[in-house]
Amino acid sequence: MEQLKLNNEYFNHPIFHKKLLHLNTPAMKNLHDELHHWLWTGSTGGLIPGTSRVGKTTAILSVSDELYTRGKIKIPVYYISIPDRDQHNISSIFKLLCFNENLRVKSHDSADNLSNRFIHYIADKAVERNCQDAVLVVDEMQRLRVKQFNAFAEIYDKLLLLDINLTVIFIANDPEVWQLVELIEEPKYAHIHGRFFMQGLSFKGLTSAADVKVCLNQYDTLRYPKDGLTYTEYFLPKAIETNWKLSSLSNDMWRVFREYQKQYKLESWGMKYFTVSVNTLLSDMLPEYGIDNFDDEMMHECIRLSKIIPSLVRPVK
Amino acid sequence: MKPFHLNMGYLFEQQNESTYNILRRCMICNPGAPLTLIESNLRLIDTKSKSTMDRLRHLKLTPDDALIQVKLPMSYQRQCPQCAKGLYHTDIYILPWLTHCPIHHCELTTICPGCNKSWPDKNELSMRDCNTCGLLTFNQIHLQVLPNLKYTSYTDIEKINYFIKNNSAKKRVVLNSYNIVSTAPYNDPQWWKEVTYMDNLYPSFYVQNYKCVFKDINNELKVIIKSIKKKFSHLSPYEIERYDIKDPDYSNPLVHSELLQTLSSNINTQGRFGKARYGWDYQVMKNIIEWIHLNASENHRIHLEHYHYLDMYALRKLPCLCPYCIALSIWFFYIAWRQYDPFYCRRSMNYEFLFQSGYLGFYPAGEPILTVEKDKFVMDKKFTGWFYRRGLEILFLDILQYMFNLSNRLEKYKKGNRDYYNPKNRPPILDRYCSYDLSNDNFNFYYENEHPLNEFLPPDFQDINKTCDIFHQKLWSRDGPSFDFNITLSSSEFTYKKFNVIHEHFREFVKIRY
Repeated sequence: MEQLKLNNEYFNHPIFHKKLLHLNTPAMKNLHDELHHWLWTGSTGGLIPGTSRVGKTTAILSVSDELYTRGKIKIPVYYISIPDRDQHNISSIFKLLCFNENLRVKSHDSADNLSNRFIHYIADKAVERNCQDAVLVVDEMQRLRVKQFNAFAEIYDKLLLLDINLTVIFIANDPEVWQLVELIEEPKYAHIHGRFFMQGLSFKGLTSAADVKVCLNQYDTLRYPKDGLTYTEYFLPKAIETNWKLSSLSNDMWRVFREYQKQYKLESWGMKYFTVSVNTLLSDMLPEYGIDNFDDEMMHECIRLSKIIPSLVRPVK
Repeated sequence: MKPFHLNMGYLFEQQNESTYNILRRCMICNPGAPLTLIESNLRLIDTKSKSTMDRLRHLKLTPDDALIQVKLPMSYQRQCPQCAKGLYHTDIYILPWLTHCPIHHCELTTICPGCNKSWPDKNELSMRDCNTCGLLTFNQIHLQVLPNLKYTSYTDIEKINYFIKNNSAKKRVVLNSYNIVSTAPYNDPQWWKEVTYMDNLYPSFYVQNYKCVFKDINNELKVIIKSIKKKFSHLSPYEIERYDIKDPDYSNPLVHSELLQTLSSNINTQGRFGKARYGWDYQVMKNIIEWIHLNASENHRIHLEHYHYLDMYALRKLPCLCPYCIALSIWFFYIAWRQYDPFYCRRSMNYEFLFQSGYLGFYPAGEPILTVEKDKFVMDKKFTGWFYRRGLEILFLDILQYMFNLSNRLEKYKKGNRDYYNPKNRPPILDRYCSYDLSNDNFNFYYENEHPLNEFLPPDFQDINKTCDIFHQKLWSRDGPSFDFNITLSSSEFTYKKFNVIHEHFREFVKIRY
């Protein structure tokens, strides 16, 4: 282990790299099922709100590779994340869409041209993939202005004329998004509400000890390298001899988190905070103090280190 | 520049569409992107292909092998208005024998009925806002293109494409001229040109040959089938020793004396039809003189001179020239030299003014020879004579057209218009186009008009008698008359005796000159 640390190979482990650590959570499965439900019933879109750092983006990006039609044809998914900008107009949405797909974008391009360019791009992909469905994921929706939703309505309408069904999935931060949603609910925006906000799914992190166990189980089964040791065994070689599993700590972990949850009225354990807590425990605390010395204090320290408390947006009542 | 993604409009991809159509839908699906940008982007995406059209072809989602190998860059010039509205065009629309659209059965046009302008080329596409020929808007696509896309039948287009592809690939027989394929340094194009499906002149040849293919679709397509004449010949093996004429070495004094010896006899009998050729020459010359008298003027006196002394400087100074006299003189010198020394005849074309004015060679007349794989065959005397005479007529027309063209250019030059002349833009001689094949060991030659001369309509030359007289008077007053070869034919009656006399003059001229 020390030798590995010296060679820096030790730090190539996925748990040190946010992008490489991929855990399938129950919420992801729920999202996967719900999206298929939407797609297979011809839904035109929906809203997926969730608290900050809960893992919405990771979940949607993960799920977007696994969306299929009823005929088992993979559905192409297009993703944009809305940045906060000084100008909030329809043209900027088309520009963003084109830019994300490496279509030509110039400052003097008209909104019409940009919109048609993107629509033809989706149409091309539909023919290439032999799929008449398409999904557009709009992340950070809370940064949009109401009039900008017309851009998505236009794309949806035009694609429908080309016999392509577009489903627009909006991902938004809870609670910032609700103000915008309330605006959209006004009668003058009925065309937007009717298209995209008739259904939704509240995305949550880990909400029970069982959810925690599902995630910890993956530390006990995922291997690095692919044919090497499990994540748990990698950091705790002694666990091989005793057949110790990280998932055995799920109840303890959840119990400690519950204390924070009650105190700060947390809806769920956000995946970002959960992974940081577990990774700290697995890579630093347990190797340092030993499996047998695991206690609530150790877990408290890991949760504190995940910065779950400073990130809270709501005052504690 | 980093390449960007180019939409190809795969949704509107249709069978056997032309590259022009691929470009059109590509431009429609990338609105606002100029053609130059699309082209430069394509160059970045596909570095191997050599042209935009090739690159576009390679980007086709479902490649069809219909006309891929055949480049018809100007095919956009003829389109079906209905197809153009539906964002479709195929290369076969340019085929002149196809007058009606195989899909809509309406007439193929060269003018867009929507805007009354010629169909736009790739550079003009973005400038048109016509809903037939321009870059269609999204709404036009939705209303005009999509509804018909699923219900359009391309069966007939497929049939024609299949037929063209299969027949054009066949290399059947090669027709050549046996005096010309010998060791002589001949690079001139032949006087005949086989019609292919792409030829826009006398397209009926092609259809004539493959009538059976068009039988079932012809009624709807209204393919033009003109009446075609046919000559045939039995084939005999080609005997190299007997028929080939060796290219003489002119630096050898013996060859020179041999030539003089030939000239002392009346007729050269070298080659397969040496003696008969003299008679054929006479027949054609007689026809030409009659034709000149008929078309130029009855009173026009033809001056046969050697004109080797003429140069462009002299021609620019002269007020006019007589195309008939010069053309016939050059033609006669060609056939006369050919009679006595076939290899010298091309060198006899060494006219100063021709080279100075951009001459690249005339279509030489010759006897036919047929190559079938490795075997060579010659035709019978009747066909050979006819073929040779037809070649002579076309040679004369070629020279005459050149002289008319030169005369025009000189006129323009005198008015200060100094256009650059591109010799490649020589006007076509329609009767060059023909078709041929082999059936039951017979060689069949298809053509439209028996006498190319009779079909040729010379440009109006006002008062040719006066022009001709002024030309020769000025020429003689400048250089003095050409005493060594100067014959005037004042009447249209051209007897065999006269022909002999001219040949006698020619022989004397050669003896003195060379």
